Amino acid sequence: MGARIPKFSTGLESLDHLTEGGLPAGRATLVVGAPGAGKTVVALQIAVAAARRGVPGILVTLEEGEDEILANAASFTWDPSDIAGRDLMFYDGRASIEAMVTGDFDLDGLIAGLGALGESGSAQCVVLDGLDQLLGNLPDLPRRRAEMYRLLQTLSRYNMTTIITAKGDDDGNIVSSGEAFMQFAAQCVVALRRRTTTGAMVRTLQVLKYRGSSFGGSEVPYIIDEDGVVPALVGRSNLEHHLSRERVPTGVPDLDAILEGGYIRGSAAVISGAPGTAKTTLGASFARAAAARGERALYVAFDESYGQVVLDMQSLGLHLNATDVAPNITGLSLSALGVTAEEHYIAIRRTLERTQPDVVVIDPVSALFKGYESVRARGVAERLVDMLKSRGITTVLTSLVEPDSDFSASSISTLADAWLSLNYVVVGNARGRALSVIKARGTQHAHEVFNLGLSRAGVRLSPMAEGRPECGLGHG
Amino acid sequence: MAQADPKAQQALAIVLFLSSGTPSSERARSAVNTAMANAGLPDSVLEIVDVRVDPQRAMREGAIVVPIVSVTAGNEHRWYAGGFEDLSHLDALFRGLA
Repeated sequence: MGARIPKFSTGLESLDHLTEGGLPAGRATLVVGAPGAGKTVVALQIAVAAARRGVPGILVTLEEGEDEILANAASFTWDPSDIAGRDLMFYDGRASIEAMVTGDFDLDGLIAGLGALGESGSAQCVVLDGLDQLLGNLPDLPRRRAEMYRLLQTLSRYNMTTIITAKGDDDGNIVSSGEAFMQFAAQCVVALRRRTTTGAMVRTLQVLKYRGSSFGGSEVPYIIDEDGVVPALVGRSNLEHHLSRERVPTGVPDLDAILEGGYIRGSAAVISGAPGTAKTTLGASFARAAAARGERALYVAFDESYGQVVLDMQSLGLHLNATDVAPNITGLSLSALGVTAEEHYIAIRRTLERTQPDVVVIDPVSALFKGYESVRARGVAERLVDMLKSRGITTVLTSLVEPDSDFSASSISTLADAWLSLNYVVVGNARGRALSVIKARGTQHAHEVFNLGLSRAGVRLSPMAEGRPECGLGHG
Repeated sequence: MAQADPKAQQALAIVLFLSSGTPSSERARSAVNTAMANAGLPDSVLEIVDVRVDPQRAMREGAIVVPIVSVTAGNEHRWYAGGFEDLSHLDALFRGLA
C-alpha cells in the first residue's frame, strides 16, 4: 500500500521511516502542536531540506514575519538565509490576519497567488504557517471548510506538496473544535506533543493519519537543538542484528578466559553492580584494549566527566590518555540531571554517527533511569541497545544497582547477550569484590563466583575457592 | 459634497484587492466607490488590483484574502477585509481621510 502514492522526503530520518518514505507528494499534511512544540521549525526544516535538493518552496507566514523566522532559524545548522528569497520564498500574510474585518471575504488572493506559483513551477513545496488563524476570521464553519477545500484543490492541481501548521493543545489535538475539519481535509496528520516529566520537557511526534498509505503509529520523542527538530530514531522492529562468532577481548585476560576469548563481536554485555564494585574499571579496560588494537572506541560517561574517568583509571595502570590509545577513544560526558533519556539517546546516536566506533561503553546505562519514568527509560535503553547491535558495535553497558536490587540491569537484560554481576563479598573482616557470569549467550561459561582483584597491574580474577577475597584499590 | 484637502490627498493611497465577479468583491468595489464619492476623494488615490490578473502583486503585499482594502495615509497604514456590507464604517473612514 505504501508504495502506491508518491512520497516527499522530509529530510528527517525518523519521520520518513514512520511515513514510509515521506509526506504525501503533491498533497497536504497538517502539523498540529502546542505553542513551542516546534511546528514552524519542523515545517521550515522540511521546506529547507527540499529547497536544498532542488525543490523550490514558499512559506506563507501568518504569525511571524520573514525577518523573525529567519532570525530564529539562523542558529540552526541548516540556516536558510542563503536560499531565502531564491529557492525558498517568503510571503507575509499577516496583514490579512491583522485587518479589521468588515464583512465576508474569501481566500482568492492566496489561492490565485499560490496557483500562479504552482503553474510556473516556481514553488513545488508550500508551507502555510498558522492557516487556522486565517480561517478563524471567516464567519462560520461551512465557509472555513469550503475555503480550505478550495485552497487544497488548487495546490493539489499543481502537485504542490503542502505543510499546514495549526495550533493544538499539549496532546496534539486542534485547540478549536471548529477547526477540527482541517484534520479531515489533510491527507496526512502529524501531532507534536509535549509534557513535563520530573522537571524535564518531553516532546513527542506521532503520525495520526495517512490516507492512502500505511504508516508507523509510534509516538517518537524528539528534541529541538542546533539541528532543529531531531526525532529519535524509530526502533527497529525486525531485530536485524549483526551475527558473529568473533570474540572481542574484554581487556581483562582472566575474563577473556572465562568468556572463551571475550565478548561476542556486535553483542551487548551488561555489567551490573553496586558502587565501588569495579564496573567502570571493566568498562575502561574494554575500551582501552580496543583502542590499543587500533579499533575506535566511544566511552559515554554519565554524571562524571570522561576526564575524571581517565584520571581515576590511571591509578590502576589503565592509561586511557596514552598516546597509543587516546586518538582512538572518544569520550562523551553527559549529565543525567534535568535531561530526558530521549535526549541522551539522540546525543549518543549523533556521536556514533560522527565517530563510527567499533566498541562502545556506556557507564552507567542506569543513569537513563535517573529521575525519569522507568517505563520510558527502559524503552530508550532498549532502543539504544538495539541500535548499537544493529550497527554491529560491541557494547559494554554498566549498570549501577543498589545492594539487593538488580532493577536496571534486569530491565534491559533481555536485549543484552551477556550479563556480568559484580558484588561485594565479605570473608572474616575483609570486604572484597566478586564477579559472576549470569548469562553469556553462545558461550560455555563458568557458573562459579570469582574473586575480583584490583591492583596497578589491572584486574585479576581468581576462583573464590582459592581463598579470601582480594581487597585492592577502590574504584567503581 | 465636501472638497478634500489636496495636501492630505498627496499622501493618501487606497488599494482595493479584489476578485472580479465574486459577490463580496463586487460589493466592496461598489462600497469603496460610493464612500470615496461621498468623501470627495478623487479617483486617482484609488488603485484596484484583481488578484486573478496580478496574483504576484497580491501575494507580495500580503493581500491573501479578498476583498481587502489597503489604506495608506501618511505614515499610517491599515487593512480592512471584507465586503463592507455596512457602508457607514467605510464612509466614516474616508470622510476622516478627506
